[in-house]
Amino acid sequence: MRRMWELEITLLFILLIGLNVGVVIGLLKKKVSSVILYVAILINTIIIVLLITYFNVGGFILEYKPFKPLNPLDVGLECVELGVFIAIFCVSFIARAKYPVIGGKGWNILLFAAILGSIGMFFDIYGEFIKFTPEFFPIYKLLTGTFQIAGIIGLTLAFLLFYKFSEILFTPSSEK
Amino acid sequence: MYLLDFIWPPKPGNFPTFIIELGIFIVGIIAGIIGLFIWKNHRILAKEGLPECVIGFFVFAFHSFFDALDTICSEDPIGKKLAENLDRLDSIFSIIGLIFITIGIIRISIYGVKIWKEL
Repeated sequence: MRRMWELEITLLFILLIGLNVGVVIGLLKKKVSSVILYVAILINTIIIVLLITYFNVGGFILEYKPFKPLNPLDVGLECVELGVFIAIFCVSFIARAKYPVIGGKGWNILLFAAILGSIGMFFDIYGEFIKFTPEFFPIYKLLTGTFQIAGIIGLTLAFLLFYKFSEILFTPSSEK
Repeated sequence: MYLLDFIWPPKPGNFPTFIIELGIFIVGIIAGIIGLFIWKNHRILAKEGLPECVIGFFVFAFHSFFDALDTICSEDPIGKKLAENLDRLDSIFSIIGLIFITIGIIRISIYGVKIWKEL
């Protein structure tokens, strides 16, 4: 069993290093699109959180078991929430790729907000499987809350900028 | 004080969590109100798509309201059952809100291109 964990940790380290080396090389060659950066942020977060959990950095984990008995329905609903956040990201990305005319400043923030929301949701699901120390629990809640608030503010800012910048571009000639 | 099956004021241990969750609810409501202002100021552009997003913001905000309520539920069996149901309601509202926002984004992009072609 322990050997299996070691294999997983080694694979996670390899993935973490490989991903970041690839992104840095791409950035140096200026061939990395924003979407790859956003996905890299999401994957990096997941890998780092899993590594921190394994080594219990900071000793914030009390037990490696759910806080309350896991209910498949509750966890399933939270997974659907994460799926919808990722769907928002995919829809925004595909829409921008299909109709480049709508892709502006606001659209980039929209993609970023969807990634922030996805990270928040990932933390939410993660918290279902771990029992934190009573001192760390409010910090964990603050962390998930901050990501969700950042996601909502990001979406609002995205719409504000999108409509501000698109006003001249999209206003029909009859309205001018 | 027990109010229905809620404990008010929240226990000191639950207070930070309750405040954070209530904070998300308030931010969500403000986001919805800003969306309404955008809708009012850009009547032509925001005709399609934005209304769904605004509805989505409000519904998503309420997900956090239910999340805050389930934090202050009492410890008795009825309170636990209530917390469980509020937890599910929170997830359902979150999913519905996010689906509305997704539909809104799809409609905004299609409508934007339609207007662009009509120019």
